[in-house]
Amino acid sequence: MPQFGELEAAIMDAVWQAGKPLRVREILDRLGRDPEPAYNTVHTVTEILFRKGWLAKEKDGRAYRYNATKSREEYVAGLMGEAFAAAGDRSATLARFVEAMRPGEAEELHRLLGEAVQRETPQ
Amino acid sequence: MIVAAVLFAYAVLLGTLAPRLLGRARWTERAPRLGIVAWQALGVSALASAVMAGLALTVPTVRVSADLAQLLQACVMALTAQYASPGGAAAGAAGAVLALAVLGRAAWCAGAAVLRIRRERQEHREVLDMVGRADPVRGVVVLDHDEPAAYCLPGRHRRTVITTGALRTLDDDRLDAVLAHERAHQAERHDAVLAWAQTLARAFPRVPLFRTAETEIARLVEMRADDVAAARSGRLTTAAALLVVAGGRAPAAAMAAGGSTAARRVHRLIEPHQPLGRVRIAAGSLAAAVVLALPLLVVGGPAAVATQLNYCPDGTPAAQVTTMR
Repeated sequence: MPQFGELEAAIMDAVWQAGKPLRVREILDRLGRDPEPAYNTVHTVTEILFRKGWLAKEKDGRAYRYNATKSREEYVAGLMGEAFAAAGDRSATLARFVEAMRPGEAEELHRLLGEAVQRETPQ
Repeated sequence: MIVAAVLFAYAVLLGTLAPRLLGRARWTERAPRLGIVAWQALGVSALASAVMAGLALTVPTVRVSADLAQLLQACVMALTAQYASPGGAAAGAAGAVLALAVLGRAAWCAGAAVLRIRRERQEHREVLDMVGRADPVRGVVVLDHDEPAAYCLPGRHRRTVITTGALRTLDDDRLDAVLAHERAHQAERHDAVLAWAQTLARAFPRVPLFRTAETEIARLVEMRADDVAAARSGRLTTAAALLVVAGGRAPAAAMAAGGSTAARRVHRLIEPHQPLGRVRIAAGSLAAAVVLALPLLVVGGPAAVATQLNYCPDGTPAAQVTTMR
């Protein structure tokens, strides 16, 4: 369901930006989409996100309020951790551009690169 | 028996001596793609020789003749002769165990790796699609993160991921080099190359060849992708891009002794570029093909020679012999 995936991301964006538990109606208002999706659709997708563990819900009167279980930064940090795990375990799962260098190496290479660039550009 | 011994000796030689020779070679950095192929050829050849050594013990070699009935009869006779003696039966059983164990272990580990990698990629992609921002112009997914970093999620639903920190510190030319590097990984399916190397190293952790091949292939695919990026963006631009991304991160706590691969890659791009010549590339490719073909020749050689022998009783007219073949 690709169209749901996009709506899922939009709902999470709204919840993350609000920074407080939201009702489905409030989520719908904050989506700011044109055309506005149906209330039932947003409700369904919000429930899907709850079942997937992205959202937590608490009872508020007759309705529920939904809040993110983790902040966006925490998820990003998790992704970066996977991409740069020290163990080589994940190297076939993801391909990182470059791993980190030792502190001294970078300075030395910066110097060498500067020299090489100067050689190449005629004065 | 001799065929099995030769194959087994060949497998042991490849497994122990070859990694020392090729691991010390300096030309692999000048022709990373040929280097990758050479390591792969060694690995596949070692695996195939071990399996075929087992099979050669199990199935006695029979002289091939054109007459199917004769061939089958010879087969049955050779088999009964071998398995009639306790020694022959034991050798046959040992061979079967060897072949099945090697083949089974490799297949099992490969299957497990494929499933694990697919699951991990899917989990990673689900989170990525939720928290990342798609940048359709550059064809990347952007993550809000201060450290400069770039990586790709290979496979059918592939994504190239770059952090806002990297976008901030890389100018357009360098960013182009980073993206060309990631595209090279995807176009040449380096993830599959790495997965296979890892599978062999994990399936047979005591074989030096597979251990060395894994680390060498991991290094060489990066250099290969660097070369592709350098051909597009220039070697010094690519080196600068590597430095920006690698230098902006805290180094991992545990890192191998000696210089890091990242530093070696930058050095290599700064130094004058000396790609391996065509003649040497051709010679290297030929050598890799020979390494691959050798176990097949050892098994197939005697059989091929045997087909040329004349099994017909004396006095058969020569013309008839030719038609019988």
